[in-house]
Amino acid sequence: MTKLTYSQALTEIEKIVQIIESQEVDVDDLTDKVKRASELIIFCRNKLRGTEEEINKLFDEKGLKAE
Amino acid sequence: MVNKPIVLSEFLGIVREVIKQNMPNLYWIIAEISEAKENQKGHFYLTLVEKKDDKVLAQIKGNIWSYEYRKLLTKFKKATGEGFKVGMKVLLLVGVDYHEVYGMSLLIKDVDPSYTLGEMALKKMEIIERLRQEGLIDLNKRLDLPIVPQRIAIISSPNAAGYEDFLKQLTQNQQGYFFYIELFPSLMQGDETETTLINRLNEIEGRTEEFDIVVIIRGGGSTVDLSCFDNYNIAKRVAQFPLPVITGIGHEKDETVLDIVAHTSLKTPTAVADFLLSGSRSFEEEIIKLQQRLKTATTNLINQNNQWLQSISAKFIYLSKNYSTNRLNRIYLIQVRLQKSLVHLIHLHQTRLTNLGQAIRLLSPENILQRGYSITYLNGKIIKDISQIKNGSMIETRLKDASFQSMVKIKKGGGNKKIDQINLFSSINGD
Repeated sequence: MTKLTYSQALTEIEKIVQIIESQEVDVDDLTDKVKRASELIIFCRNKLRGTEEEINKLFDEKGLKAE
Repeated sequence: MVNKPIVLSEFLGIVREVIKQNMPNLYWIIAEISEAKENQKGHFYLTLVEKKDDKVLAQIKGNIWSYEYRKLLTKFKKATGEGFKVGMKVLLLVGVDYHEVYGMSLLIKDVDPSYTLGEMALKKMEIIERLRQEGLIDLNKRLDLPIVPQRIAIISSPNAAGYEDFLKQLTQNQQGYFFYIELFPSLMQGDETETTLINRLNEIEGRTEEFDIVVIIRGGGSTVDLSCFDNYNIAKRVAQFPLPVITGIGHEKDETVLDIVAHTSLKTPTAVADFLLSGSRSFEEEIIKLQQRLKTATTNLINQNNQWLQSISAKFIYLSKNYSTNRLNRIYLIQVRLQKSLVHLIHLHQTRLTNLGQAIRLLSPENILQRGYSITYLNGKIIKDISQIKNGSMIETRLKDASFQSMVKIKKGGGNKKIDQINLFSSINGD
């Protein structure tokens, strides 16, 4: 299982934001997309503060571990 | 010509005198320092050589007495940034000294640092040129700096003030950014710098996966010995290093060769710490910007969907109203028609009723009485059949304006009853 890097997280967040901005998203998927982006944002901001391990645990529990 | 034998001291005394008399002046000479040592009393002893292709062409001992050494060292360091070091080329003002026990040596009276400076610059340029030709000069610069350098291998002297500054600056940041810092202690000045520094780099290379970058720092004093960083071997190692190398070696003058080959070169350890912090900060700012964009985009999308829903539902309401109105109109029309039909029907019936009423009035008993007929009752019932009456029945006869009663008297004869007589007045009821 690979560890989520800053650039991977950033790329994914940017992609989601672009999709939502271009309104190419299904309203049904919107919640999931926003949720995923928010989780990634929280992950990055926590990782910057060294709470990465806790976050990883959280992601693992939720089965959200990024590949 | 042969002299009579004399003792060694007397003989060497003559040598000393000859030298003294024939070389009384001071001379500016160019030489390379091959050995250098300060003794406990503060006298400085060195060996001067001239080499050509590593072959020694000339060699002599030299010394600077302590009272002069301090003065010359200050002057030399001020200009070159370093002390008298092995391998250095120097321009010295010397006098020849001869001692019967210690032999020939040079007494150093003055030094011209500008010559050494020129030599050092030349040497440095040669190193840089060599690195350039070997394609090493920007090798480390071509590595991508991680977006957030967070795991730091640091090469420093553990006691250096600059290291303390670096740690303080980096770990006590207001944003609370986290850094994993591991110190690889090394000498940062003197001849052994090359060996220890390269050894530390090798150690780090064995653990490349554990770090994002390498930081090389040293605490900046006012006069620092930086020549060890103008070193080809260190430069080559740094250039070929698999991780980006950031330097903060506290120089005030020209860049060292190490700075030139490093990925990023900064003036002080504190500046390196700020640089690393700015990485975390700008990344977080970018993330926050994306967060804002996400929020705006999501809000916009939801609003647009809401507007769409609203317009759809407005359309729906309009259409259904329209539909209802049409239906209502139709119902109204039907109602009106129905009403009209009903009124017509009622009218029709009324007319018929009126006609019937007239017919009924014409046929009513009163009307018949008016026309002069009379009606006969028995016990309140109209007599329509003779069988209804018997002998002695009291019958009532009603006329237009009165009625009277009579008794029936039946005449016997035949099978048929016949009213014999009906004229018996009893009373007259006036209407």
